[in-house]
Amino acid sequence: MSNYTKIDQDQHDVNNDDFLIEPDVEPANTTNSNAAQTQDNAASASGTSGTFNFANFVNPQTYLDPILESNNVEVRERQFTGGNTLDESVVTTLKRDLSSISDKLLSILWPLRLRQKLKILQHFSGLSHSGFNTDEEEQSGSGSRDYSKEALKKILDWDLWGPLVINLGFSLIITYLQTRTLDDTSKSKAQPSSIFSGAFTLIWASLAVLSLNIQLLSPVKQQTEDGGTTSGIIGVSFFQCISILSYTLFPIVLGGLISIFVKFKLVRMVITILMLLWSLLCSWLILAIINNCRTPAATPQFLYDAVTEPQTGSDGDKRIFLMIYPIFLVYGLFSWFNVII
Amino acid sequence: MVIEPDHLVNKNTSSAHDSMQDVEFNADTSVSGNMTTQPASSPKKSYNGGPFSLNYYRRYFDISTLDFFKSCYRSLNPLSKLDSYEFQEVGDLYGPIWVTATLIFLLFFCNSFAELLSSLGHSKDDKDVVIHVNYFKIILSSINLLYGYTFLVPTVLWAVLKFYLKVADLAPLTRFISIYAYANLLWVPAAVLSIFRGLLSSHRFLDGCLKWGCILLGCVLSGCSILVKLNQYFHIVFSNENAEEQKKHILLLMSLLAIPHLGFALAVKVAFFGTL
Repeated sequence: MSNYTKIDQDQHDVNNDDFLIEPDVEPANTTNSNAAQTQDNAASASGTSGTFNFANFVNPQTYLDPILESNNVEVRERQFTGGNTLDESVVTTLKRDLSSISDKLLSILWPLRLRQKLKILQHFSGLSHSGFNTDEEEQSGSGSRDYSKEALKKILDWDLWGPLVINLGFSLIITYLQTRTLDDTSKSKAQPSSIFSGAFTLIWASLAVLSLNIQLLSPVKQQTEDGGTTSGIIGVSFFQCISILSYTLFPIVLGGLISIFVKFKLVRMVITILMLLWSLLCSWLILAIINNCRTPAATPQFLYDAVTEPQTGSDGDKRIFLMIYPIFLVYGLFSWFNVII
Repeated sequence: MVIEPDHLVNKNTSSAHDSMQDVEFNADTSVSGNMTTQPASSPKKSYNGGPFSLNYYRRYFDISTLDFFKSCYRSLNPLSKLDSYEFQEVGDLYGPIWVTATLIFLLFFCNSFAELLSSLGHSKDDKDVVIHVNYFKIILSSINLLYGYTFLVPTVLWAVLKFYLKVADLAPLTRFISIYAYANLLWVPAAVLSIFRGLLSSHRFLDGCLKWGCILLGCVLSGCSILVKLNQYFHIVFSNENAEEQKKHILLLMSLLAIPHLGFALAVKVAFFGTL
C-alpha cells in the first residue's frame, strides 16, 4: 500500500520543481528496492494492514508518519461518520440519532417498499418468475434500482441504538402492564424491578437466540470434503441480525403501547394480531432478500410452497420457513404478553 | 443490466445457466453448484473451523423445511421406530431447540388463554376465581424445566453409556437429544386440551380431572416415544451379550429413565397448573 504513494512522490520530485514539502527525514528505502517490493507487498497488503492499523492506533507517533514520509496513506472505516459531536449541543446529537433510527424504521417496516425491492432484485439478477408483472419494473427503471440498493445498505448497516431504545421501551411497557394488573388484585404485591429485569433479559436473550438461529441456518458457502465449494450466500453478522430483528419488533411495541389504553382484551387481541402480522411480514421480506430467495415472498402462495415443495427453490427458499418459524414463536409470545397482562 | 448487491452473491445453478449472471462466476462453482441441487450425489460438507467458530455448528442445522416436517411427522406416532442406520447420524439440533420452544409457547398460550376465558365468564368482583399470575415467573421456570430435561437427561445417559458401560460404536449425543426433543411434540395435544380449563373454572373437581388428564396424556405419549426408540437402540447396543444379561441391562436402564420422566411430568404440572 505504502509503496504506491512513495513512487508517486518520487515522480513528483522529478517532474515538479515546486513540489510543496520537502521531506525532513530521508525515506529509508530507495526507489529501486521499492519498485521491486511493490509486487510482493501488494500480494500481502491485505494481510498486514490489519495489524498495521492496530499499531497506528496504539502509538500516536505513527500518526506523524504520513506527514513526514507521506507513505502511510490509509483510509480507515469508522462506525460514526456524522462529524464532530463535541462542539454541537446534546439536543442536536439526540435529534440526529433519533432521526436516523426513525429513518431506518421506515425503511425496514414498510412492507410494500420491501416487496418492491425484492422484486427488483430478482428481476435484475435474472431470477424473476414468469408470473411477475415486469412492466412495473421497466417503468420504475434505474432510479428505483439505485434506491433499492441504497435502502438495502441502510437495512444491513447495523446499529445498536435503535435496538436498545426499542427493547427498553418494550420492557418498560410490559413492566407497567404487569404491575398494574398485579396491583389490582390485593393478594400479591408486585415487584416491578424483578419483572423489568426478567422482561429485559428475556427480550435480549430471545433476540440473541433468534439471530444465532438465522446465522446457523443461512446457506453460506461451505467447503466440501472433495475440495470444492458449494454455492451460497454471504451470511449476515450477529449484530446485523439483532438490529434487523429489533427494528421488526417495533410494531409489537406499538401494540403494547396501544394496549395500555385499551381495557378490553378482545380489542387488544385484534390489534396485537395485526401488529404481529405486520412485523412477521417485514422480517420475512428482509430475510427473503438477504437469503436470496427466488419465490415472491409473503404471499399465501409462497407460504404454501415453503411448506409443501421446498425442494424447488434455492437453499434460501428451503430454509426461510425454518428461520421465520422461531421468529413467529418469539414475537407471538411477546404479543401475547401484550394481550393478557 | 446485472445488479450485483455486494452482499448477495447469486451462484445458484439455475442462475448460472442464465446468461445474465455472467460476472462473479467461475467454472469451479458451477460444478459444485450442480452437485448441491442433487442432495443424493452431493459430497459431504466439511464445515471448517474449530468448535469455537459458528461454522462448526452449522452441521447440526443443515436441514431443509421438508426434512423438518418429515421428522416431525414421523415422531407423531409414539410407537414408531428409527432405522438402525439413523442412530449413527448426527441428527439436527434445530428440531430439539424449536420443538421444545413450541411446547413452551403452547403450554403458556393455552394456560393463559384458559385463564382469560375464565375471567371473561366472571365479573371483576369474585377475586378468588379470577387469578392474576406473574407470567414471567411461569415462562422463565418453564424454559428452565423443559430445556433442562430435554438436554440434561440425554447427556447423562450418553455419559453413562460412554464412560460407565463403555459401549462400542455409541450413537452421537445429538441423536439422543433429538429423540428426547421430538418426543416433546407429543405434549402438544395435552397442551391444547388444557384450553378447556377456561370453561370449567367454577367446577373444582372437573378442572382437577382435566389437569391430571392432560398431564397423564402427555406423559404417557412422550414416555412411550422415548422408551420405544431407546429400547430399540439398547437392543442394538447390547446385542453381543447373552439374553439374560441383555434383559437385565435394558430393564435397569429403562426403569432408571422412566423415573425422571415421571418427575418431569409432575414438574410440568407444577410449573403450569400451579400446585400439585
